[in-house]
Amino acid sequence: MIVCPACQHRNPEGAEVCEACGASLEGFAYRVCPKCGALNPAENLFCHRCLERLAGATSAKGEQPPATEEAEKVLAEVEEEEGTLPPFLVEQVEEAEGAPPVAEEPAPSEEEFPEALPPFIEVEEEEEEPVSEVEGPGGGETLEAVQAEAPAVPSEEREEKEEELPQVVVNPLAGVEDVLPLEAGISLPHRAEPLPTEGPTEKERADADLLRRIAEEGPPLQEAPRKAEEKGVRRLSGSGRALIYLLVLLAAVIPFFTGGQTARWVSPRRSVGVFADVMSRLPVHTPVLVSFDYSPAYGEELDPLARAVVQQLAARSVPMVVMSTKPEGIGIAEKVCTAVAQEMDNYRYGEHYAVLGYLPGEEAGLRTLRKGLADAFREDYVRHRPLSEIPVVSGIASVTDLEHIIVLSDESGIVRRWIEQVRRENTVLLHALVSARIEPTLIPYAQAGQLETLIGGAYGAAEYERATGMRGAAAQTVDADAVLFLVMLLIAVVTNVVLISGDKGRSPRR
Amino acid sequence: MKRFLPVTAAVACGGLALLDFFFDSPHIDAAGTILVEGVTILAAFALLLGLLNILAVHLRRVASGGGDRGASLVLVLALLITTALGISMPDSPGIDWVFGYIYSPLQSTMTALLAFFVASAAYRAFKIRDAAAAILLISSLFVLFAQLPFSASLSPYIPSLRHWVFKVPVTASMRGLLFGIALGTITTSLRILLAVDKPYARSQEPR
Amino acid sequence: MPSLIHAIFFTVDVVALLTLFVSALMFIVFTIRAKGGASIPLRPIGVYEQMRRLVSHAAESGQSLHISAGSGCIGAEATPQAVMGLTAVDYLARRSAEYAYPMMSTAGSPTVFATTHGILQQAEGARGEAGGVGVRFYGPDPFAYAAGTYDTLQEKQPLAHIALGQFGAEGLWISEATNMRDGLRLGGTSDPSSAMLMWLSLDEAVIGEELYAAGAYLHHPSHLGSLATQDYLRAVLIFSIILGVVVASLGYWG
Repeated sequence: MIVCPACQHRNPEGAEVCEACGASLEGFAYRVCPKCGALNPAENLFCHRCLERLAGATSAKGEQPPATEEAEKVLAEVEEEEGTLPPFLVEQVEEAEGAPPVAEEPAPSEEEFPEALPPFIEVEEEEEEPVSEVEGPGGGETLEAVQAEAPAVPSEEREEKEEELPQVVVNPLAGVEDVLPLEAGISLPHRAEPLPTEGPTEKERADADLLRRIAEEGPPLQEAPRKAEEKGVRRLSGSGRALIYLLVLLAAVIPFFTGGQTARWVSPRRSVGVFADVMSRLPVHTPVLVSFDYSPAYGEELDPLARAVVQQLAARSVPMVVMSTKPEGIGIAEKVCTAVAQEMDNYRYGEHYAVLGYLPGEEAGLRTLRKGLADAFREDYVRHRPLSEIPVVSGIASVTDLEHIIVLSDESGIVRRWIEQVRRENTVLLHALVSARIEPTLIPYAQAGQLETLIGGAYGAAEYERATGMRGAAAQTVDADAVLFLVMLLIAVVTNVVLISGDKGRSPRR
Repeated sequence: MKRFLPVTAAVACGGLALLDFFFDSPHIDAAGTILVEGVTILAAFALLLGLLNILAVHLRRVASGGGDRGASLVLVLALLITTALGISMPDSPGIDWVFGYIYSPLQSTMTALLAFFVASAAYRAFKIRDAAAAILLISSLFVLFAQLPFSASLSPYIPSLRHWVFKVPVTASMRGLLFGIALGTITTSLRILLAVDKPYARSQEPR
Repeated sequence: MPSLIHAIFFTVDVVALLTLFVSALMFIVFTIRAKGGASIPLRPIGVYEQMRRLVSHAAESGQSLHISAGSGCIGAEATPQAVMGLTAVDYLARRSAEYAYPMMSTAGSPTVFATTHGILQQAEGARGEAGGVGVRFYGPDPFAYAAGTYDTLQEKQPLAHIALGQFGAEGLWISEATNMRDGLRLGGTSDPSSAMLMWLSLDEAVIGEELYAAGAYLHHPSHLGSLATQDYLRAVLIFSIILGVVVASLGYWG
């Protein structure tokens, strides 16, 4: 797998140019971890995320990485410590293969290379005991083993190496351990780059500066994002997901066959009963404002409730002013009102109801509405006539002249806006008929009396139909609730059975 | 001056909108209305910019001949046809048809998919790893069960217990969240009003 | 009766005005202190910690990060949420300019799109590249935005997907539908009904007011002042609630 550096497209292994954008892929190989699927630079021996050994470790050019057994052994120990190596350290380990163990080599004195080392790297002055100074978990043992197995290096060779292999025995990132706990990596026997006789180049300075800034960023560089370890446990397999989706689909199609068998048990809550009662007793000359503040996305859930309310008002010829604070809502409002008016001959546009249109501006728009209906709407939505020419609206100066406002909404913010901007004078009774998703968010407002009514979702619509004695579309859907409950129960049981069996089957990690 | 002007304009507009909220005066009302209309016009221009972005991205895809070029072509054609219809004949039956037979069903489909996603998300949430997860599981299943029409016939206590769950724990937690959100909104708005946070002028590293 | 209504109306406005003044005063004091280097302790918030880590990971691996500031419009009620999302975009963009990791962003509202485009243009322009290429707008409709973001994530498979700002149900849609092989999914929103859904689905999520702490946690030391203001206002609120409960219980009020 080769990820295109330009467009991030994933190309197959061996691709020379990106399939998507045509950019050259030379030298941009990444390997995918077989365990967690993370992308790793080609030179990594172990996954940077889960520390899994990367099978068939190949370099960017497809060569086998030249890691020594010693290096792998040390890396394995590092893996056990649940740390990881940044790629630049892995590179150094790879470079070290073939070279005599550096633990044997005395470090050069600081005087020899006074200006070449960055200030944060301390060079061990005692040439005789470099190994004993090595820090890091397990580092000492490993180095002793390496020492024992390593062939003796002739003294002249050793002297030759002295110049190019200064022994770094103290954490070169001293002072930033909290950020970059690299002790495990630094404890490896590795050799440094041959020190230049002159000062660091511009590029080296830039690289060092970049490393310093990344290190100063705060969090540990090598610490994988925390939840990544849990993801294997938390995420569903493809078949598990498919099974759950099938069960939910079953719950959705059941009502088509059962036709609302459980609807006869639906018992309206007190608040729903009170709302139905209020609607049935409204004086025929008291106009009601209905705001269709929902999008077609929630039409299947809220349309039955909207239709039931409009039907009840139309049946008694209660005047109705319709609007929306969502651009998509006004289309729904017109559709519902027209459909109901067609069913009832004596409920006519202009005389009994009017669709004013979409009111932009969110809070500011509602504030304008409070000040005056004519300020908010210059003409109606359907016939484009001034409001003064529409009989049903002509008597309403502002929303404060109304007694009841019904808000049908799929966003809690919209209902809150109506409460804050319109209802704050306490003269208007606000009824919120909302999608089930936002119902819990609005309960505090209903409890505080700022909402006269709060009815949520398709089940609320079924309750309302029951309370008014209508037989609408909502009653058909309640069977789905029963199946959905069984599905959720099944999911809960299976989830925990899988969890328990998984915990038992998993060998404890050290 | 490059920074002074936008900051001054932003603070002045914010202050004016605030005055419009607190005081009823015809002059302030008029200024507030102008501001609201200005925001709407600006948003419309930003939308135009967004549409150009959609067009550019998908025309590029069509031209490059990738695997998705068919979908991109459909998107570009739909965008152009709907825009042309909407501008030339805003009240035409064609727009109603697009709304009723394409937009609404697509929206409903996307929402319906949420039921599947909630179920798959519940798979993770229902794992009893600690006491909190156990409470979540029990309360979720109870509320679902209490929602069933026949649950009340099994025991008269079920509806009252459901009512209690909504009235006490749910309301308490929601109130806490809402108070926190209100405080966060106040301080974030103050940051913008007092020009401590300037999302409209980001030329320097913030302090 | 009208005079009573007027009195109530007047009282509500005075209370709101007073609250605003007190908040503004506290805010100014604490912000000056924060800018002066006063230490304000912060509890760890997972999403922001992870974001800081992700910068290092992206710099190391060269993989891209995807961020979305949501579908809230600047200039509308969702402005504070959108601004917090943009603060996160700004943070990642500045680091992207320094460490040269690729960044992608999708926007669900035109104003957020325009601002995100500007931020990325500036950041990427600073390293000599054509800026703002990775920003996508998928229409002002939340579900169109969700579908577009889903497509982007599936195709590009970034190191992480971060969704901070105003999200409705589309937040769950994006995070649950997207099959990210190894990417982290972080984010959150302040709206409780949507935040709960996102919390279920994301690897790490902020809920409610935690969203408004993005600036303070990521890169704006001056935002610490507003966090302190929030905490003190909360203390006042708690005291008021307790006082109200006691007074009401004694029968003097309500």
